[in-house]
Amino acid sequence: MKKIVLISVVLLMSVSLMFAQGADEKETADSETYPSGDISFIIPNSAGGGNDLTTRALIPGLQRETGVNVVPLNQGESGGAIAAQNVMNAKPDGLTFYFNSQTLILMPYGGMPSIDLTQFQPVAQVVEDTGVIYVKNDSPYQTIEDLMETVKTETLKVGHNGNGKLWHLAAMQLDNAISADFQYVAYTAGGSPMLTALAAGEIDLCIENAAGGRSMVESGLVRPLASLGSNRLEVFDVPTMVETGVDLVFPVWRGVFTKAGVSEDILNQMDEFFGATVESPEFVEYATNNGLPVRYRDHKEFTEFVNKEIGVYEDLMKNL
Amino acid sequence: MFDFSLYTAGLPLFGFSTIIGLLGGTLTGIVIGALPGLSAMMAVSILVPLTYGMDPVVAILMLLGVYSGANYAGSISATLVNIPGTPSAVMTTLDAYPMAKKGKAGLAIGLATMSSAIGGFFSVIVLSMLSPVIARFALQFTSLEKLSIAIFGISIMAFISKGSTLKGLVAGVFGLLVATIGFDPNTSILRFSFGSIYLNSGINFTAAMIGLFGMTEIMLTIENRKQKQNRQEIQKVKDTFACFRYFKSVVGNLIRSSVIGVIVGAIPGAGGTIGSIISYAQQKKISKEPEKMGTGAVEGIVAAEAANNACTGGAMTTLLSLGIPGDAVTGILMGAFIIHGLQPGPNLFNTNFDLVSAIFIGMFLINILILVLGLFGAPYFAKLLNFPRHFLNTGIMVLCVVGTFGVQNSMFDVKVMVVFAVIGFIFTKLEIPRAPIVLALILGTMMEENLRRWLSLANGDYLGYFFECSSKTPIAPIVLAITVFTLISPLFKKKPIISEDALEEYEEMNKEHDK
Repeated sequence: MKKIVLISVVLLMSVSLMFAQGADEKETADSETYPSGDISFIIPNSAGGGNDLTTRALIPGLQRETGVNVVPLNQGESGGAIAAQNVMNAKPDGLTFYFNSQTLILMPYGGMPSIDLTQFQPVAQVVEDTGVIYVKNDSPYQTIEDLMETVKTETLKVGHNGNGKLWHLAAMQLDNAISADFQYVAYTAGGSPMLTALAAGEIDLCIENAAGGRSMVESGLVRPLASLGSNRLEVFDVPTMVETGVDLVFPVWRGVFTKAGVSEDILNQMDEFFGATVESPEFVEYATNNGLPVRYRDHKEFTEFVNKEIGVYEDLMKNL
Repeated sequence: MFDFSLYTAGLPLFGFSTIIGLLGGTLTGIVIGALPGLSAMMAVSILVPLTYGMDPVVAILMLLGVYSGANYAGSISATLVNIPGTPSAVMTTLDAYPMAKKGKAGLAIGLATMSSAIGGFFSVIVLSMLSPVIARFALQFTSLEKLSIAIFGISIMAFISKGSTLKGLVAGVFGLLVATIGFDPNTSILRFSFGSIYLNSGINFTAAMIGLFGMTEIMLTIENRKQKQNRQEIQKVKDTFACFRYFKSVVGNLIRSSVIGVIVGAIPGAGGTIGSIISYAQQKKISKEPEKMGTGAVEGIVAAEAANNACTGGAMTTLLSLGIPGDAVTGILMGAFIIHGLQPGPNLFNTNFDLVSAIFIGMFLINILILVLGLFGAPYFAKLLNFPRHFLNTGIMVLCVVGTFGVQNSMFDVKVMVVFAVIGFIFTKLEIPRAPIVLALILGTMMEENLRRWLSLANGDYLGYFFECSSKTPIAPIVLAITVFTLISPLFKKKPIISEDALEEYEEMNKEHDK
């Protein structure tokens, strides 16, 4: 019921927004009056997923900061392609926000060549998560060193969440960093079936984030060996790869984007909004409960970071 | 020591909203089920979108209430107007209607309520005892086992679907083909998307379901509107409690029928309809007065109703422990789980322990509700039978469109829904069953994914890897052998899984309704 009310509200709002903007085009990019109307926050996933919940945790704080309504729009169809398309077609007025992780960067390579990354202006990074290397609980590899020793002589089977997807790239980076010769096995249905297969002994290792593997670790089915972050995790007492002497950091970031072309003034205003929002009680509570490490980068840092990441992934995708 | 936490962990989840969800769901299910032509499948598929904004626990329990409630309430119109409210009540009409004609409509509905509730109880007990065990076992399943179970599910579904096996296969293969649209699960290369980004991740399952079962159903009733609404004299429903006087004499029957129901429910593709047909036929075989069955016999009602409601628990057992829907309705329920971020399957017992526990407790409560609401409310539900259909059709059509749009705020999905409604309509006209499409859509994805993964794991040495996998657990070869056996058995002996008599009776019933 709530959903239907929400949909009708959203519909009404988008219709009224259309009229409001049609009447006065000039007003849209003015930093004095920003935000001149309600903000739509596009979520490239259906309701209930990680991105959706994170975005919804940002919204209360954002509404207080901006003083306007922030309307979440779930557009999960076609693996987020439609959502990205809608951002590209939006006006550069700063009234359309979009939430995503590096999944956005991977889209042009993953069968969606129409997605033009230059159309996305990074606004704020809010979360920096990372991957954890998991093995079966009674696996012969007790430590990450055992694993690194074995890969010199044996071909291990590594699970990932689909060709060219996040954990596939993480595994490829690990493969390069420890000079392993992995056999890649795709589990496109997601992290849970992949970890179940790991527990059943179908694969030797897999990479997932800490939140995804927590319940399986707690029930004693799988075991974390190391994390791919720059700092140690709070949830698992395992070393980072850097600690073990391997130069490998695989940050999984999530953040907010808008349509490119927004003036620098407005972007600076956005920095203020998001800087305060990531410290809002709603967001902090959400992040703590879900074991998500909060990491804020303002639009300048985030743009620089995203551009660096694009370079990294371009190289990786070439080797795919 | 026996660990009771699985049966108590869900208790804290039973807040006010959960109870309201359960009650509302069961009541809605009964109302929809009581209306002829609106099946449990339709009830669940059009109500799934309404649950998006809800807490997952409330949403799932509400849908389970709808499922069980609708399954039971088919008996109300079966008794009063000789039309099964849901397809699974078809065997109930055989005895309940004659009994009502004798002026004992209340007793007939009472018996149906009692048997449904007891069948339901029994199936929940089986569900809560067996599914954790199966799930623990299933955690060891690798791609090969999952693949063989999916193949088994798809073949058996075509084999036992009502009408011709060939037509069941046609529907199944159609579902399999649709399931291949979108990204290839192994290489992430696009297939059959025709350059449209809307088809990148394939056909949305919920949209297809609402089309096939919600919209198609409306089209069929509109087409049949010449067929005058059954404005026949509806018997007064009173004395529903009289059924308990017969309890002692039908205990054996109740247990037997419940067991049949649970087993049939657990077979992928076989639902309440088949369960009650088999149970009814079985009862007739061992009855002391078989000639009375079909003329208003107590045992007939009991056998049919206990079995069709016992199917719910059986179907839920495979859904929760293996992630494989036992029938089309649980297929739609599976979609609802996924929408709420829950992946049914053995891992659910680890990741959402309290939810699984809440499902057990909730299904138990639902059956109590069926008993209470059924016995006290039957006279009121009976009045629903005169509700004008055109209002109902309009309302459901709105729900279909809004609900489909709500899945992912997509107009494209609404178009998909309409296309599938037309496909469903054409299929029905060609007497091709629709249920295998649902299962093929779900099992097809599962089958392909596991097949491709298994092939890539084998590294080219397929036979060697098959033996290597089979030596660890012999499940895959056993399941595959059963599948082959079921598929080739008709070649050797023409003996349908459902006995001839029951099938004949069933077909006669169908003909009567088609008139």
